[in-house]
Amino acid sequence: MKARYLIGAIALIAALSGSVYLLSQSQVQYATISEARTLGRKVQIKGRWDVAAESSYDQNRNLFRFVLIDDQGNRIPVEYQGAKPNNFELAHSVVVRGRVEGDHFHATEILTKCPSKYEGSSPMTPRTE
Amino acid sequence: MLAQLIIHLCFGTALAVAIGYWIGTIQRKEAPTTVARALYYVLVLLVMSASAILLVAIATHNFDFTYVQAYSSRQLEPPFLYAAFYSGQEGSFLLWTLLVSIVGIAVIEYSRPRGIEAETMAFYSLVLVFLSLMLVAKNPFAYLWETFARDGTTREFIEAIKGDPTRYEGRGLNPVLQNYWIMIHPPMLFTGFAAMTAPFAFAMAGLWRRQYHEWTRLAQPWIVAAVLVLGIGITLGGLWAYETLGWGGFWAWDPVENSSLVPWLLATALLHTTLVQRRTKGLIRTNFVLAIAAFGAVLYSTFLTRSGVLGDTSVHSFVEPGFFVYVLLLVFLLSFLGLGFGLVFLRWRDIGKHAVRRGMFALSSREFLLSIGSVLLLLSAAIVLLGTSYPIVAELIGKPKAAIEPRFYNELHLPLIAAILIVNGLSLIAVWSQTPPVRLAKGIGIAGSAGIVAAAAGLAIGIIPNWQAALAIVAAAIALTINGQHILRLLRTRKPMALGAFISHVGLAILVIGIVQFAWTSTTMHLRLVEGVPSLASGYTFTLLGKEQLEKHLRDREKYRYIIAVEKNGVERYAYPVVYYSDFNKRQAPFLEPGIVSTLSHDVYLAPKALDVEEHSPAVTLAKGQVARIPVDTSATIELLRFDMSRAQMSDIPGALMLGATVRLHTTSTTVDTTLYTYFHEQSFVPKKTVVGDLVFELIRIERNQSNPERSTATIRFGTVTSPPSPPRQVLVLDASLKPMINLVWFGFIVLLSGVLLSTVRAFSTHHFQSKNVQVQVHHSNQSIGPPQSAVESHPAHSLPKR
Repeated sequence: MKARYLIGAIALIAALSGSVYLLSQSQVQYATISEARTLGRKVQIKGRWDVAAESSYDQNRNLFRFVLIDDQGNRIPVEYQGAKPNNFELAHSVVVRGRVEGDHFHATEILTKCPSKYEGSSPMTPRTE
Repeated sequence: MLAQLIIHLCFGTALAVAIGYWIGTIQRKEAPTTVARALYYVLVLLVMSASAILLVAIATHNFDFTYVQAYSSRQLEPPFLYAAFYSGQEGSFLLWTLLVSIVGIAVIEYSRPRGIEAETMAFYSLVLVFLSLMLVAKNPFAYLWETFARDGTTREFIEAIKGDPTRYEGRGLNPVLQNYWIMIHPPMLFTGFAAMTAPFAFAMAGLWRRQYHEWTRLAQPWIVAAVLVLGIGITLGGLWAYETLGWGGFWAWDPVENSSLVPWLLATALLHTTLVQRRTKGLIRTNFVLAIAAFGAVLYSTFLTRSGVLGDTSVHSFVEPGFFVYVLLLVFLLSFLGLGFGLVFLRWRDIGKHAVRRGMFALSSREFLLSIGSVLLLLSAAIVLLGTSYPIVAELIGKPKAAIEPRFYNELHLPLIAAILIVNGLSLIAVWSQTPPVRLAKGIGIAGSAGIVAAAAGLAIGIIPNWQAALAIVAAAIALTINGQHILRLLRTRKPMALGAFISHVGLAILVIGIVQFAWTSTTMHLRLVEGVPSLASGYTFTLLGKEQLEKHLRDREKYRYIIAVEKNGVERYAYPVVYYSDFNKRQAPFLEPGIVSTLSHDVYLAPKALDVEEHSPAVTLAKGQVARIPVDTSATIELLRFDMSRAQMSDIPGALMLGATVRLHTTSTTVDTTLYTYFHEQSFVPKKTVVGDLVFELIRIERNQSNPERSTATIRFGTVTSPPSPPRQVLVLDASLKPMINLVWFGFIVLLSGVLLSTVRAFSTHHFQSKNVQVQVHHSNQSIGPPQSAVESHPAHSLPKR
């Protein structure tokens, strides 16, 4: 009886430590642009789209390019394998997931965060001129 | 005013109900229980009337209510109009309360004849106390002038604008939600959540009364029902994501998906461990802990998804509800976990006196294998919980904020699901108490060879990509074989109602085979379809034929379905991806829905990504001051002088803006300044033709650069009088995927859930027909079929081996 519990406990600990190990392998840390440059591995950067800079979509290569400004005000050109995300113009912040490759950030995913409901003027609030 | 009063009355009544049942429980008297029961029906009526008021307010567009204004509009049509009821936080809490209160009627009717009404409802009604308190905090009947008082909105102001339908208007429902799935997926999930409350209440009542075994029999139908309804809800969510949201798959390990999966996994484990307890009298504490944890997981799920803690990591993001609700949700969760685990702790030693009998839980016994299976299910729940909660855990232990990739869940679950299927098979070969080695060897022999044959065949025809997948396929084949044997045996003995468990195991095995195939064989191609031009990809020919406008009568949207011919071997079928612009986001970006061509063996899945037009006639794009040669007559040049917005509001097409660009044309003979015009209407440009000499000009696009107007551009298309410029062709950029075996995945879900449905029906009906006759018959069959079937499992007293 005792031995069986021991074996069970060891198996369970092995399984849990396995999952914790895999957890540490599959996290994608939030980083700033300068951190992303030094880390080199896959990270995610929260920032916003530099509206003044060029953004383009290369239809044939399915490559979307834009410039990201992170919360510290640093800039990096981003290349994303895919079309421009649906809500890109509307997003007040974007999160790119990927890694720095040479002088640009190669994104595998772009998450857009849109303004929440009550921001901006609703027709139901008095306008302040 | 009335509505707000009702919400407060709900809370007061719920509190009174709880107090009544608690007095009944403690004094063990009938009178307080009778009063509490009467009050309970009052509470149900109150919650129903609050729901009715909200529904009427939505249907009559009463935008005085902040909730109605935020989630519906005049443009919203039934049935989606009614879905606005639960599209926001306040309404979904109301729906949850409504469902819990209705399920409560069934719990009363069920527990009353069994003499445990007071105790069960004492705990059950506590849930309603919290839910109604939540409604008081997040009142769906708050008025605009209350919500936006700080912005200067007053009641007088709202009254004043009531006559103006352009200002007294709702924000509308998010277009993503406007499809039939929302009519069924959220109510299903909430019904599942409500159903999870019952086993919790039965467990707590059992603990309270020190009846540690009886509750598992009473709660069993409710546990199966919860597994069923929550399972349907989760599956519908997957279908929604695949069919409408264009996720390309049915499961994305999104935090909201995960947090509904965890209670399901715990309830499924509980289903199996209570079965063990009914047969062996063991696992008493485990079952109490599991019943409490499963309900706790529902509350934790609500906390995760509604408190805003995961705001950055989920697509299902809700608006931040405010600090008070955050705290309330946390208190809700912690009180029920504290109450539950506290009572288990108090009874810990007492339970020990009723614990496992000697001779049980041998390594080869069914009870042992069922327990191992449940441990594996719990492991899965723990993994999902860990991954989903990681952002919070990281913050607590001071690690940098991070997101978890889906591969964390995928890589752990592949071996885990293989182990679950193998243990499932073994547990069915085994018999209770101790399995004769001969029986074990024979069963493993047959199933094992079936598994190896399946894997070999799979490898031979190349449908198994690697060894992990092979392991899962072998495990699924083993489970299929053994469950199949049981199904055949039961069919021979004419007991179709007992098939439920085996059917759902078969469903799980099919699901696993489907998922493995789906995950490794899906292929995606990037396509750029120009109207009328066939493109070849993955053996299919795709041709964009055009588009047609849908729902033209609704002015808040411009919705198109694109028609794509998908041809292979002379068979032509059509896919209809949808692209639409909605006032919801001021038409700034389209909402996209995939088009799917479904065949038996695979789906062709077309997810639109971007829209474009391709010019047929030559065109040039100019910024201010730039000069270009005119392509149709290279001796001439064109220069963009300036943009002319002076006639913007003087358009002869209603609703359109008339935008102009003044250009200087320089030909060999003359120099002319002229203004080209274009109509801007609903996100598209309609050029007005300008003829100068032999040349024809069309201003087809103006791109304004907000931050630097000097860099705004005009695009001009050219033609000649004899060969006029022709309109551009539509271009749809999309991801075209082949999704093999997706139907096997859906089929697996359906088989799994139909098995659970059968078990649910059976569980509730056997509780109503407990005649001696049935029990004798069942007991008899136990000996004739060999391994005890689930038929006997709800009557442990009769089928337990004699001491």
